[in-house]
Amino acid sequence: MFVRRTEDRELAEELEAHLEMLQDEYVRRGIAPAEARRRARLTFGSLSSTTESVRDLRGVPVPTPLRAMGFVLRDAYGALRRAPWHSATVAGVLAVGITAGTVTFSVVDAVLLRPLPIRDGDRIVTIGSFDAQARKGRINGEVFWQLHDHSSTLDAVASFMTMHGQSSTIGDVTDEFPIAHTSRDAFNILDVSAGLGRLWTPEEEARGETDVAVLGYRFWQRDLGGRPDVLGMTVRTGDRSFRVIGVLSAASDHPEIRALSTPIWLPGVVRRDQTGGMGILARMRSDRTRSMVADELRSLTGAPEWTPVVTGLLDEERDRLSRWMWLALGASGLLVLLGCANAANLMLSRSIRRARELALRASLGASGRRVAGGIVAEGLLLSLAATAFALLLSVWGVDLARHVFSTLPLGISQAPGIALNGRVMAAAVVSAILTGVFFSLVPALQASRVPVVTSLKDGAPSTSGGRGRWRRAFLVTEVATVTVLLVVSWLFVASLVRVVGVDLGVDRSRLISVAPRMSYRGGVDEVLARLHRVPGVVDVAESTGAMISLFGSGVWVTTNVSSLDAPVEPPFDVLQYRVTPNYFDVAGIAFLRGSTWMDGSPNPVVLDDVVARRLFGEGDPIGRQVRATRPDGVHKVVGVVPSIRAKGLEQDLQMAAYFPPDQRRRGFSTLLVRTTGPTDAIAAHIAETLEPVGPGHKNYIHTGDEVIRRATMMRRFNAGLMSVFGLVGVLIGAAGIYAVTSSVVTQQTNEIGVRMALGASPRQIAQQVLTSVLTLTGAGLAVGVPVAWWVSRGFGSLLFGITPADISVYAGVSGIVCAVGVIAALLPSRRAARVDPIVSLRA
Amino acid sequence: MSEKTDVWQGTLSLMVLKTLQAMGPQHGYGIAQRIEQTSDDLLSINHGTLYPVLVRLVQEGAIDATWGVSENNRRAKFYRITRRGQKRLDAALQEWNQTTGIIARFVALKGSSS
Repeated sequence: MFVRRTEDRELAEELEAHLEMLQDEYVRRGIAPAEARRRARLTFGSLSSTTESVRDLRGVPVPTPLRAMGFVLRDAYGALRRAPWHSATVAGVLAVGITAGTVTFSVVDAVLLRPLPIRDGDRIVTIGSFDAQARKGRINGEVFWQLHDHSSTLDAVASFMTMHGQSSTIGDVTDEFPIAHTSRDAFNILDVSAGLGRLWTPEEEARGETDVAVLGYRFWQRDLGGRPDVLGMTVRTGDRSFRVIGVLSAASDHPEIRALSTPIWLPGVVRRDQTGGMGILARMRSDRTRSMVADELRSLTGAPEWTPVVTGLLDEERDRLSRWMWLALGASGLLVLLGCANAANLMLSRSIRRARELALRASLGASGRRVAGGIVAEGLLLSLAATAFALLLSVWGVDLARHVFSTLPLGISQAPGIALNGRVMAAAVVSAILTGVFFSLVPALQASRVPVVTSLKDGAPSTSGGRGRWRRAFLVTEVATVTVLLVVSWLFVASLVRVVGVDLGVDRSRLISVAPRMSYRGGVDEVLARLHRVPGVVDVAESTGAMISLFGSGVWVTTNVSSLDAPVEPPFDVLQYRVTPNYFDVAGIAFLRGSTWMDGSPNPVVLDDVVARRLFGEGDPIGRQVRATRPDGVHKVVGVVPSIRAKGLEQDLQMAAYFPPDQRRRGFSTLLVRTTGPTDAIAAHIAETLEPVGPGHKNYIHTGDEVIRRATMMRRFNAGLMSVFGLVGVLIGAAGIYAVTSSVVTQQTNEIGVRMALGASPRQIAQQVLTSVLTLTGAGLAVGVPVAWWVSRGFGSLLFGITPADISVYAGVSGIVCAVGVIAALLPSRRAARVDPIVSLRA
Repeated sequence: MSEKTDVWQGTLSLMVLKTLQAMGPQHGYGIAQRIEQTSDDLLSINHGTLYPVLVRLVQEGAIDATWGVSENNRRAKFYRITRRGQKRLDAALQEWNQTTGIIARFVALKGSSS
């Protein structure tokens, strides 16, 4: 306080001296002292305001280089505070983009980027034995032991085969649990140990003591209630039984790794003389690649033509998902780009409005670099604020994503791992800094080049050519980005529409399937009888052999057929359906020719039209004879039906032949149920009715609608996501066009006033504004459409029934973009039309 | 209004530095007079507006101030350009030389008369 007062006194003294010197000067010029004093006061100006200003300055710290950064930031903060709406818009738009990006990246990170949770997980591979070309297994006992003992690419090799569809009983639980038949080494490779009891020893395996079983941790917990007396219990499967000696440890519980979540593990001893194929689980040596492994297998098996399938533990899931994921990430990246272009444009618009302020700063001694630095600092502050906000939103968004991915049947088992971890946060912050610098760079460069004088002159035209150009460039970028987003979402929505509209060849409405289970206590007949008693059930058909894979796990049983009387071509493979005669009726498959067979008629067969044409050409196939390998023999064609899309909505038609059921395999029957009413209620009723003959049937009962829903889930999810991205993109783009157009109109008020004064009609003015917006929109389309085409070619394989070259997509998107442009520019153009020449010229 | 004052304040800091460089230590009144003279009355400033600039420059270390006695025996504060101020002036002049208009002309006039 004391110092302050001293300073004040000194200042007062200094100013007084100044005044007196002034007064002296006037007196010297011959002016009376009183008048001289008055003039001196006049020349000096307000004493009090000078004192005020100096006092104000004292409170401000001196800008040492260390503090300079702080000043820049403070100034930037102040500038943002002065324009709250501008700042909120820029930050809000960026936050939307960054949130989308962060949430998407958290999913990508969890599903694609996170390393496997087991030691050397990325070196663990499974090797398929089957050679699809030669139609045989390539890895026999001999090859296995060669690999096991002498492989140059693998340092650990185990046999590993998972059996599905076999009924097992342990305690009072019976179901078709997957069973792993594996050699002891598999536990070492997968780096798991027993949490309870023990694993079987290599010695036991070598001695052939293979009547033991190890249970998976999750299976033990969930299906057996984690009971501690599980050791010593018996697993019965087929006609063998196995004594439980151990349970895998909790550390092995990684549901995303399918191999590890197998419920039951049984010793699978590989004999040297074992023929036929076997699956292999192996760990590669650290410096080897999968193709090296494949090469070794080729030379070891003496099959140079064979391409062994060497896959990582998560490859299948990652392969299936990665393109969808990168697509979503790319789309969210576009949103960020859009936010950036938008922000850059808003900042440019504002820096034009702020031209005088910036020039002022320059004249205060701020260098061009300093002014530019200030703007970049503003950009950084904005983007960091946006990121902070985006991270808050992301906390919620990531939770939502985890919930959605975990609950929707998208088949993403890593979904529980979706989280805002350090890597995701770092990515968000880094992207914030990059975007902040990126979108403020151009405005900053432009501002640093403001010619001080022109800006300070009142009424000087405030649009400089360079900025106008940049602003147009940003707007074109925005429109182009929106175009790309729209094209992409259009393509996916159209694909979805087409997929849903696909004709399966089966009337799936009011159809229920009850998938095969061997645990029917009452047998198939009992199940059939119960089904028939359910109200609303019209008829039930049985099928064994091949199934419509949408209704449960796809089982592919083929048969090799040829025409007996007109061998036009070599025999070929078709799907072998074994069905009851009412199957066609129940499934809603209409006959093209002939009809189904009568019960008991000898060796009938129904072909689909493709098979019929291939075997018999255009002639009438009815009554012709077909030789088949399974069921072996000669069969008489009784009917022809259309092909059905057995493998799935998006799969090709499969050739098929239908034979009477295989009585020996009736336990495996899929039951197709035709109903009269809504399937959901009836399905629930069926589950209830079947409960006494086999608990837990619910999971094996599918309605046609549900099946389609599940099959199209990924597609619907993606189309939905892309639509949201597209919609957000359109909104941001529209906001950008609106903001730029209205700021241009504001700046050109004088010009517009002059033109109106010279006779331009409001209509002409409005038209001109609209035309300029449409020109820019057109330019954006001209850039966006080729980019969109190029981008969408990259994921052409994800599309269905539509190609990236589809003109209608681009026409539609162009229409939307133009409409959005016009709507966004409508308000500013009307404002332009309402400019009052007199007011604007006086201003 | 305050904006306009600011403008001249900012420009003033440069003028002040240049004046001090050309004339050596000088008190506020002397600086004000010199600026008015040099600009041939193109600039008419309120002398009061000089002081915030001077205080700021002192804070920034571009000039320093000592109490002394004026020609007509008045106690007055004398300002003197420092080495840092000299450097800043050189840098600023270089930039200002690239601009056209009043500032450039001002600097040019100053240069030719000193």
